Amino acid sequence: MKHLLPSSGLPAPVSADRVRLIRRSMRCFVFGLMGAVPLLGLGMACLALLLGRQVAQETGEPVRTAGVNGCAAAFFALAAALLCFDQTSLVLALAILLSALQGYLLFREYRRTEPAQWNPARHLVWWGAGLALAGLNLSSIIILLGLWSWIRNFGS
Amino acid sequence: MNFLPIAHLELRRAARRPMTYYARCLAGLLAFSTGLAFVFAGFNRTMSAASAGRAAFGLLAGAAYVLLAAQAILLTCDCLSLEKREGTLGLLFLTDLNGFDIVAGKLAARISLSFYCLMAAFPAFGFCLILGGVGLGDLVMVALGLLNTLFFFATLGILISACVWRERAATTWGGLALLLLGVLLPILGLILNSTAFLALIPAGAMLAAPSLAAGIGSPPNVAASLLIPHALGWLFIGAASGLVPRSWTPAANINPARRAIATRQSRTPPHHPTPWVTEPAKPLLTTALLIIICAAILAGALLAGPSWLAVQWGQVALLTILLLHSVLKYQAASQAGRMLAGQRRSGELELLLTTPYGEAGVLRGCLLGLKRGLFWPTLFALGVDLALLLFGWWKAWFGNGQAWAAMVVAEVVWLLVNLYSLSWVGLFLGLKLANPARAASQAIFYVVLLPWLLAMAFAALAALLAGGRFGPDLGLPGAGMLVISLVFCNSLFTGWAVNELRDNFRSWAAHS
Repeated sequence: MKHLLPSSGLPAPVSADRVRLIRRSMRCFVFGLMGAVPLLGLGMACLALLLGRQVAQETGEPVRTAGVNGCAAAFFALAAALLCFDQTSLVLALAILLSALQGYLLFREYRRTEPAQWNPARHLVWWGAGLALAGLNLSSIIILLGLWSWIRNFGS
Repeated sequence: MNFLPIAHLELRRAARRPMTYYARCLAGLLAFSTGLAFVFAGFNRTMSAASAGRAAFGLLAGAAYVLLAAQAILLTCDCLSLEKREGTLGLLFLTDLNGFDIVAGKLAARISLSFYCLMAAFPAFGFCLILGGVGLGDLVMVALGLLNTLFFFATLGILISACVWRERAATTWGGLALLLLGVLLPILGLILNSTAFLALIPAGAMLAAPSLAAGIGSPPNVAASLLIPHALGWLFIGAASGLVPRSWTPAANINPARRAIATRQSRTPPHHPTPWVTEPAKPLLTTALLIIICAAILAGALLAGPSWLAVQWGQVALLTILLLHSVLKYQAASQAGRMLAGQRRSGELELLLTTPYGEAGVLRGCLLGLKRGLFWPTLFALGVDLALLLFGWWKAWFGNGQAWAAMVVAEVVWLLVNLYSLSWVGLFLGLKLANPARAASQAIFYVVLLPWLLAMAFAALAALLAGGRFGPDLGLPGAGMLVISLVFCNSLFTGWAVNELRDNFRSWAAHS
């Protein structure tokens, strides 16, 4: 009698959600790719990160971004301090180091975590988030250096 | 005081909207940051204190005039026609309310947001008094002029709303009235140096203020420029009160010519269902409007004389380009906002989604309809841009006209980017809000106005950091921040709209 219940004959709602999930993951990658363009892609980078977070929430993936954010915060504090001593080249070297470190942390997190729901386009979400993060960092560094050069010229 | 129940109901509705509170905070913050930046400039001797005061006063008064006029007419132009379409206006006449009560109640409720924004921003005008160059008389005259502007354009919007039935006609007539009475007539009055023109419009009272009248040959009479627009406002209220009881039934608004066109269109087989289901685009109307604007500016410039035109041609050309582009952007937002809003309200969208076309097909159809509606007007505007670009280059003997050419090309690129963004954002907001006027105004705010407000806030912050020293040093970072904020807002809101439309189209369509 159990199989005659009306609920058993309905298609599982998960499949429709999964289609949406895959589409969102692909869109996250496209937005991330556009967000990697420094300055011009700022809006798209924000959207890619937002989409990445939403997809992670939907699949129940416990993503820890404290390490990535902490690295970025430490870098910008250090960069501001270095710019006070006119060390532009050191800031650029640190920026390359930051990108590498963030990439490594993201890759480690990608390998470590396991989503509760299977998402065949999961790698695209991580690529999108990584590219968006790289674009955001690049834009922030350009704005920081631009501001610094303006303040220096203004002071002189 | 029989209009109070209507005003009470509308004010309660407005009190539940978060925008009511955000708008006044934003208006106050912007006015204060601008005023403060000029105070720093004045006290740091970058400019003389008096000239800083006059510049701040002119900037604040001009910005307040434009925003108040646009807000007043766009908020009121569809308020009565919306009730007529939904059939709730007839119910009000079952009570002991008359036409004047309904019109006055609607007016009181609709202008409250603009009035609060003005009240929040007005203390910033006090900075100009501290700096000097501006007297108490200027302040009083500008305050009266701004209040008069609010009243005049709100009553005009109510009259338009009482006359029309459909939201498309309401927003089109509202936009036209704003363009004609708020922009073209003051410009013509200033070009022709005519006090008669300026006395007819509420901007005249502001231009009569001594600090703003310095650049005008013959300032308008204060009493006339205050009384004539005010009297016109009461006339509009009277006309609207008389019209409302006669025009609330659908039978009173049937146009035989329109019915004939609709019947003919319904016989033609549809190429794609969505542009067929939505209201047909009217590219000819928009193109005609663009031609009228060009002709009005050309006539004004020729009336001013060839010697004046030879000196001021750059400003006239720039004004023409900006006006044409603004009309196109408004049309894009308005048409996109209207496409899905009406379908969602009438339930046609849910029916359309049951066909094999699906969400992607409906979206493709909407974009097709927008392209059909905007292709010829955009082509006309681009043709005018090209002609003005070549004319400007020729005037500079092709050697020194690169700056002019670069500016026109940048503006054209910006127009095309904005049209694309406005189409997506307008479509999404129309679907989400199911209110075409609100969708169009929000799309314009997010895509066109917000980047400039962000850039202004950055400029004010930079001026504060620099100790109020304005100068060429601020030019490059200011331009950079402007470009970044323009691109940021456009890409962010376009991406957001695309994302929501692709993900939640069915949910929004079925949302009540």
